Amino acid sequence: MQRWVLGGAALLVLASAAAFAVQRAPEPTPPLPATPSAAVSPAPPALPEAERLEFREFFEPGAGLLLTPKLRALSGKRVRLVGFMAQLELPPRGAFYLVPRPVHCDESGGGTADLPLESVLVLSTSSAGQAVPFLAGALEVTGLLEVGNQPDSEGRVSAFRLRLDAERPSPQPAATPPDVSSG
Amino acid sequence: MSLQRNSIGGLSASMILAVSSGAHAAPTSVSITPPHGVRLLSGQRFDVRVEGKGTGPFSATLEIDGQPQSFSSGVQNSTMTDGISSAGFGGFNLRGYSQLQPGVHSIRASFADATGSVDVSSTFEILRARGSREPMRNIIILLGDGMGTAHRTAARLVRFGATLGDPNGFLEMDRLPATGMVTTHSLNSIITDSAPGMAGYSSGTHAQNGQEGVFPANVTSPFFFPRVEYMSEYLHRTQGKSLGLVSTADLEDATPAANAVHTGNRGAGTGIFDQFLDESDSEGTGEFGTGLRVLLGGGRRWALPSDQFGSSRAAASDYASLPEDVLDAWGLPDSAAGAADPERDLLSDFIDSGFTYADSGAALDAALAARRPPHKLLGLFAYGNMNVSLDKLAKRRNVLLPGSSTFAVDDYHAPDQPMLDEMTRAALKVLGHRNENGFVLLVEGAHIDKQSHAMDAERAVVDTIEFDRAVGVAKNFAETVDRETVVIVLADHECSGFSIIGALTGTVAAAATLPPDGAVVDPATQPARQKAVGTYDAAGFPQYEILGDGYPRTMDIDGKILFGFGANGDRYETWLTRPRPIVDSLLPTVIRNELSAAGYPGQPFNRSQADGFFIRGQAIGQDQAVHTASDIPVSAYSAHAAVARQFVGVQRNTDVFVKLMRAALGGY
Repeated sequence: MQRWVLGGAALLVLASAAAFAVQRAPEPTPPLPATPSAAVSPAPPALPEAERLEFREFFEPGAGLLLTPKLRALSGKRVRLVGFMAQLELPPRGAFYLVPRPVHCDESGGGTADLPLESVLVLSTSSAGQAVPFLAGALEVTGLLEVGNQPDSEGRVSAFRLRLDAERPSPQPAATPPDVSSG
Repeated sequence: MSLQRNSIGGLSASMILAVSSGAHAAPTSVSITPPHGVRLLSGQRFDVRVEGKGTGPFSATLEIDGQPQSFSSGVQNSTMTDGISSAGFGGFNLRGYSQLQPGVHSIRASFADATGSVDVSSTFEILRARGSREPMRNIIILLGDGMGTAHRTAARLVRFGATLGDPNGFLEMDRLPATGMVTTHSLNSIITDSAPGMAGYSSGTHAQNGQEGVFPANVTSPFFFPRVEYMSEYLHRTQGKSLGLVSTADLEDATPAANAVHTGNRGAGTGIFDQFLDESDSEGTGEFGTGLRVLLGGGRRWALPSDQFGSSRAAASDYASLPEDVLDAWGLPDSAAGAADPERDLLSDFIDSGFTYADSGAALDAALAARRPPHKLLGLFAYGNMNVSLDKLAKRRNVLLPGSSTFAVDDYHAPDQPMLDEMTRAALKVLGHRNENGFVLLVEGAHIDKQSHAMDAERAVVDTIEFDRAVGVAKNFAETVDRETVVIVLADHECSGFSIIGALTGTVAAAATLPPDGAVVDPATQPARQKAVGTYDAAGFPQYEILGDGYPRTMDIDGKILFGFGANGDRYETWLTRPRPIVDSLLPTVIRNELSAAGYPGQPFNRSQADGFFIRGQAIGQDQAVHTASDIPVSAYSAHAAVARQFVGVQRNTDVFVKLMRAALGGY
């Protein structure tokens, strides 16, 4: 079983694996030159370093759901998080839930009830409006962290969201400038 | 021009005769609600609706048994519609109608738009439940969600074992004196989900999948759908009974909600939780609502204001003020109208309405420690679903499951959760205390279904044992505390089992041309783990060690019982208990990834890929197992034997409602 890395080029795996690939042309993905050339593709400004965040660092110990100082400090910052994609019978569109352990949620009503409180809604612009195909195994995601309750159009509330980095390998100097706001 | 239309507008109003009188065109999807042939109880309230799709302006007429009726929203023979119909639809409602006269009644309606008109007709039947026998004061429904015959047998064999052809003991539910079988179909499918499954028992009518306490309609909010009165509402209004709801699920889930909430969207948790309280008749007037006094389970997320962590409240899952005629016809005060208010502090509202609140097992014990139990009790022990009994027991025993380094209940921020039998005991203590009017109590073992969906046999079986302990508590109450009680044990449907798993899509001819998949899975090679299944004589009589808490020490014993799933998704099977948490969050990332790479179980399809043998899903692909159309067993007890005997035989799910109401009204 392989480990997926999202937030860079790996998001293309999601897009190419999605069923909608047959419904519309895949977004152009410029080939990355083996040797970066400033003449061809100027070096983008470097992304801020992603801070490593663990699910266990979300809440203070106990059942009170008190956010840790580290989590509060990372709100609006770029973070790197490892977890699993929750498998929902009715998954959200253009997004998936990243959870600290494998979770399988049945039936629409009880679906999100099985999600741990630390669940992070991972938002993928390239998958907007489409179901993100399920990926098994551990996932590493990188992007902007948002902290605070927010409902989506279907009324599902997420307490934590992570907007994936643009679908290009962000560390590659040849990549186009990152669009971290919509990534 | 005349035409026969079936299944009109997505409604299952089959066999309604529809006659178009327009010269060339006419409105479409014209229908009458309730669905044709529905059976209702004498005096049971329900909404009548005439709707259609077309080009406005719309108008409609309605007659019941030949008598013209006034719409409560919309006006006969005019273009004044109800104002809540979906775009393109016109609708006219007669809310809160009831009929006392037993027998078959007719409904005739006409619906017109700018292009023509359509006449439609249907019937409904009124049943009489009142009689001269001793009415049962209390009704206790214990519902093992998804629990089929095999779940019961499995729980019995694990709990007691068998020797020389005989079980070494019987479950509490086995020992109830009357047992029968129940059909489980919904209004629109042979295979139901839990919402119509429960609603059939609690309203006597079929709902469409995903809907509860309503008939299908094209209106702007799922909470505006045409209603049908629940058992709890009928008996609160006519006898002053109270309602208790106990579940191991998030209480917004379909089974508990389908006793008290009217919605066309079983997932609209904010509105569902609001309606629990708003239509509980917290002042105890007995003029409307359910009389809800006990609410125990998971789902704290719906009671917290939207700005608090752990809250799931949102405007999109709530509802704006109910239509005026719903309030008027159903006797609801303005305070029950509802509002789209995700910021509402519902927990405080419950407490202000007289509920004692417990958020843990210890708090529940404390609430019941006084000599006089609280009059109303709210227990929200988890933010969403409560944990599975196997995981609750691991914490109580302080023994981690193999492969885990933390307890799942801790990871769910709900470290102290009561077991289902403990919640049942608490509910009966509250509801049974000096309650001359009696009560309706639902107790749901929710994870029998949820773990069967996940094809996790061990957790499903242990949850069935937990559920059976709750049956014992209820039976004891009916035997020794208040003998004017009827107890029934049943399921809403079977989940994941060995029976009908769906219907062929497309034609038989097309199916015959589908390619084989023998090249993918070689049918000639028998997997080693398939050989490990001892059948017939080789199965013998497995014997589990049962600890003092009443549960097996482990489900992984030598010669353990093995289970299959006929309505399954793809999976890899090892036959061993799946540890949980499987790959734990408190391990270093590198170890988590190592565990994942080593094939530690994850989703049903992704579990044990390295060492399990592949079983192709019959019902679905790489997804969870599904509900089946199988009948489910029902067992009943009452000190009055004739009450329980009603449930012997094969019966419709809606019959269960009628029999319970006959018990409550002396007509058995």
